Amino acid sequence: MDMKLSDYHVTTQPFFDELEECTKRVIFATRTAEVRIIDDNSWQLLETENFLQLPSEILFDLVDIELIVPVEEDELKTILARNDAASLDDKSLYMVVQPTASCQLGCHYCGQQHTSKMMSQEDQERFLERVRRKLETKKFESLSIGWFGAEPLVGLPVMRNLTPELKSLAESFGCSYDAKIVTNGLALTDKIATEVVNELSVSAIEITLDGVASFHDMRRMQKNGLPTFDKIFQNVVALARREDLDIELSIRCNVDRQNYESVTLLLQKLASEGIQDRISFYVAPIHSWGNDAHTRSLSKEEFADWEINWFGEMIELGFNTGLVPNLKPVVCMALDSNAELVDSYGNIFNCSEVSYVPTYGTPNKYAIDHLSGKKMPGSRKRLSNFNEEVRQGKYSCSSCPMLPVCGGACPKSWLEGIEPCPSAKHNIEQRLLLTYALSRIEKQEELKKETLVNA
Amino acid sequence: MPDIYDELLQETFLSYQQGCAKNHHISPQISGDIFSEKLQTLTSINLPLYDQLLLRRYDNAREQGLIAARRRQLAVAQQLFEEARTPLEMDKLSNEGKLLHQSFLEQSEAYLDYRQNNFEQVYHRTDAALALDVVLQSEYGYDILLMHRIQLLHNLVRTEARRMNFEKAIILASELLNYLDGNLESLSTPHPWGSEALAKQPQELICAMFAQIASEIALILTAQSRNNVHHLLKIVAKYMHLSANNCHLCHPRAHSWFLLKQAIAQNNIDSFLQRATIFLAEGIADTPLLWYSTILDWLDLCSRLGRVNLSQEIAADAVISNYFPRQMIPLFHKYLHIKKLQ
Repeated sequence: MDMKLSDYHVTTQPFFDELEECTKRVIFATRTAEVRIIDDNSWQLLETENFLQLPSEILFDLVDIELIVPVEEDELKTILARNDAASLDDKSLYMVVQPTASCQLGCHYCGQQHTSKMMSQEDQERFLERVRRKLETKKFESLSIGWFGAEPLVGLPVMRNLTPELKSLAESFGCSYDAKIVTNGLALTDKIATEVVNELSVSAIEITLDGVASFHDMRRMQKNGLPTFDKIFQNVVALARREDLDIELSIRCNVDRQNYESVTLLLQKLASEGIQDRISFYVAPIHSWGNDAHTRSLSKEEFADWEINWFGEMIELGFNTGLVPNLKPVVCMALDSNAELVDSYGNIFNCSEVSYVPTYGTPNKYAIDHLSGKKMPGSRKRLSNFNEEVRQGKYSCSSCPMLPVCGGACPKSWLEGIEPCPSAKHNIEQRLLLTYALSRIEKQEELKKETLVNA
Repeated sequence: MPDIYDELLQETFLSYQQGCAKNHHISPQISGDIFSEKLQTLTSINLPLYDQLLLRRYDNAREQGLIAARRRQLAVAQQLFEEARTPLEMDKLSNEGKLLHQSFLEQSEAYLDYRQNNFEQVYHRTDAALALDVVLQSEYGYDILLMHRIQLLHNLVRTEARRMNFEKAIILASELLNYLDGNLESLSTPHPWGSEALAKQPQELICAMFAQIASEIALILTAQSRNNVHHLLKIVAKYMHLSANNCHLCHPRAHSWFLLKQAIAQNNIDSFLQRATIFLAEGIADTPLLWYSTILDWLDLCSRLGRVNLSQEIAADAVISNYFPRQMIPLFHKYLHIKKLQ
């Protein structure tokens, strides 16, 4: 039999299912992001590649999910070719705008240098012209704008100027328009939120809370040292309760050694407001922002362990969790040949993690262009060549079974010699077991309901 | 316009409502299932397990490619088809397995060419698939592939329509229908057809294929001027035997549709309304395109006769139906617009 077990799989340790009285494993076929439960006996057959002894129904299913593949197949080549093709097919023009270099906060882990610079009228016009030229290059289905900071709401006048023009551009090219914003949430009062959603067509909002007040305010204080938690939390709760606004609200919690214990408290506080089913919540490890912030991070393994605890708590409190990762053919904007970020100085990047970061020099070594046409030191290829570099075996992604569902995480970090592997790489087994446990609980509840109905 | 049509228009409207109330029974999915089931039974008997597994792996890539092409993800489609070509270069795969895989792959890639308006290549690939099917039919006993060959020619009907060669499209479609009705021994392609091969096919599959091709004709005609419709229906009549006595035909309902379409094209309003009344009362059944094309003709007639009010409910109702063919949305919008103006 010239078939083999795919390299792209993760399996849990065996566990005893008391209901079915047999030993099982959960398998994650990462090439298709499909999960299967398999008895340990079948797993032994799989592992030893005695495929013919598997029942044909199972055998065909495992071929369908690409867990069993032809011996000759160069799997890495297949995955990267699919990823490259997905990048080429992107029908959305994604443009990130940093309307200002200003931010009210002085987070200790932030690597950005904030100034009062707002995007000038001239640069706004140049930016619109640049978007127009891009829209002319091929048939896009949508124009997607990301408002980033510094703090984008400090640059609200720029957002107000640009949005109608961008919407009109999208319309003239037959594209839909959508926008998202990543904000610290301090200025996101009821009135501003209404404007942002209704007038500026923002449909997704991400706000960062680094734990409850006692932790958050030690890290995400205003530049003058004043606390921010109460105001931001109040804004979050008010926004989550708004029935009249159609938005996706996401809360990000950045953690390192100083605040990881506060995640649970924050989850409980959010749940006590009854908004857990109206928001999505995720925890992110602090990473290097051109600085040494990552040195205070939890180790990858520690973070992964804690994350499983947080998942458990989220489930108990009624939050939605995304336990099993999906396919990630296009890892980030660097791999999207049209996507760009423009900062308030007119610098253009193909990465959202490098602008305003002084350690990258002046001019910024990652800047690939400037709205004025001024020559900049960076090149798009520096980060966009990532898949090719993986193909050449430059990074450990080339032998990682998680590549199809992670995409490589962060080309810039790899380039800087920092391993950016996501937590799922370290806790995927626990995630799979948790998923299985949840499915069993749901099944049991269904059975109970059925029994009650039949009775 | 005389009031004599009022009663007939009203009757048609009532039969439309009657038709809506009927249970819908859409069969293209079912016919696809029958075809796949028959083919799978044959491959599971004929091919060694390794061939089956290998083909399954690359058939999945081909099918994903087809889905991507439908979504206009052309680079992804191209990549997946390239992936799906892999087993054709493998020594280990049997010749039978290769022929089968290649035939379906050529068809799928032809669809990508069609989406990219590369019509010469569509023909090239379709010819290749037809030739492969003939070998599989004659040398390996895949009788069911006759229906695949008809499907391939149906794809060419669509291609010609896309190229605005409507006459050519209608001639080929009419020939196919006549063949499916058992009135033709051969088609104008350099491959064997014959009634014996057709007799081996499941009747419900023949019937579904007939409905599919008749629907293609309906779609072509809806986009034409009245003069053109008249002209193209003459071609249909030349190639097909259209008769009110339809008990021996493989799809009597589709034949009824041709007759009512002929009536409206000849401006025989009485006849059209009488036939449409019967046709619409039967509901959508397995031919949503024929049903909605009839409604479109009826709406057009109402508009010509100045009976706009009567048609509004139908137009508004139609576009929200689950069975409404998306290809017809722009044609129905005209009638919804009338409503807005009023």
